[in-house]
Amino acid sequence: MKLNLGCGSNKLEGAINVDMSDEVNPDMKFDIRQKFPLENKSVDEIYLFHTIEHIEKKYHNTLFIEINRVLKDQGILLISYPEFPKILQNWLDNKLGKRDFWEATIYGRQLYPSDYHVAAIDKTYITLKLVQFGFSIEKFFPEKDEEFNSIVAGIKIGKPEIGYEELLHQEIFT
Amino acid sequence: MKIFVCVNTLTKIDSLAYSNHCQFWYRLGKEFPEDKFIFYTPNRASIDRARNQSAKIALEQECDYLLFLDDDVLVPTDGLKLLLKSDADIAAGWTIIRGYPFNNMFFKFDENQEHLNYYNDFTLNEAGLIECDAVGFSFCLIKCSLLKKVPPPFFVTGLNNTEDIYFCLKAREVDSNCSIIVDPKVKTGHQLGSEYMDPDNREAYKKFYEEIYKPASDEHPRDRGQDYLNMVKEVVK
Repeated sequence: MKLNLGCGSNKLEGAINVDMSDEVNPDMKFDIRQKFPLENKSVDEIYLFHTIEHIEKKYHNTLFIEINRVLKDQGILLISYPEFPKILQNWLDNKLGKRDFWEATIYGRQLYPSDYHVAAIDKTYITLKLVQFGFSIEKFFPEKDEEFNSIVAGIKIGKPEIGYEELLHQEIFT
Repeated sequence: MKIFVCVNTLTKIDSLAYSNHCQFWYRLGKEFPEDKFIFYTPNRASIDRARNQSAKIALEQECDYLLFLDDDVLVPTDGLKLLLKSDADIAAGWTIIRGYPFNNMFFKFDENQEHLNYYNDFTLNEAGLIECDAVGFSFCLIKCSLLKKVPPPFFVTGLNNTEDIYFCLKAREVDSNCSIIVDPKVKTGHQLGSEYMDPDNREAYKKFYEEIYKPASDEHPRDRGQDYLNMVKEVVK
């Protein structure tokens, strides 16, 4: 099974396209900031294409815990995201005279409620998250036509350093 | 003659623009020793606020002209002399919009007088000037006598217009004979990142943009469907 999380209008064949919005008519509707309605180790591949920047950082730990839980051992995780430092520099430099474009890349188009970028993601951050939550990083590279976006390929090699229940306890009861 | 000069600086001025402006001020002093200049450099003001404030003070100080010089523009040192010589109500230098496809920053209505279009295929009048219906104010000289005819606010940024076009259209409403020109001899450089774009390098930039750079789409988000996944997997395998 392959999961395309936060698919929006970018559906993938052969994958279960997941979104929380009815408007995009997903294959499966659930909020990826919470527990996934899926069995442990039931998924072969997960794609998170330009999704993570739309999720507040306070939910990232939960997200990665769940991704790790549902992925099979050696399962593949592909993440793409805007590389915040590069885009910020482009905005500062007004690169190509397209300041509006860089601003939209930082903050999102803001055309509907979830169309906002709410987290600044960079290589360091995503690397730490993957390592913390039981992934090895196989490859890290820029998008072919938009080098200010990055893609990281990870493989599940173990359990996260912290479990979901412990995470909930920390967030709510301490 | 008394000229009010406004250089609106949002946060900082590029070093190249700074040295160019210093040269420009020096030449003003040399060429116009008997005339008075009032310099206004508002800090972090929105462009329409800065321009309106400038116009207000220029009128209060009984200036003859209002000169706008933006902080991201290089100007020829004889620019003011040439703009004055045109004797137009609104006289601008030749500035390029710093974004593909690098249109001229001056405009003309279509035949039906309905749409204001970029005026790229311009013609010159007998005096060698470009007659327009609106110009950008990157480097622009406005007669205060025109300001007196136009009810304030003079410059308003709208949903579909910038504050300079707003003024030009409003000026024409109150004075249909109001002359709006661009002097093609006054070529300005417009900052584009670390470089400056002017009428002479515009075509080279366009060619680079079209043939070499292959810019990303301005649409967000890009298509990240099957082709995107295939591209990613091709690299990862």
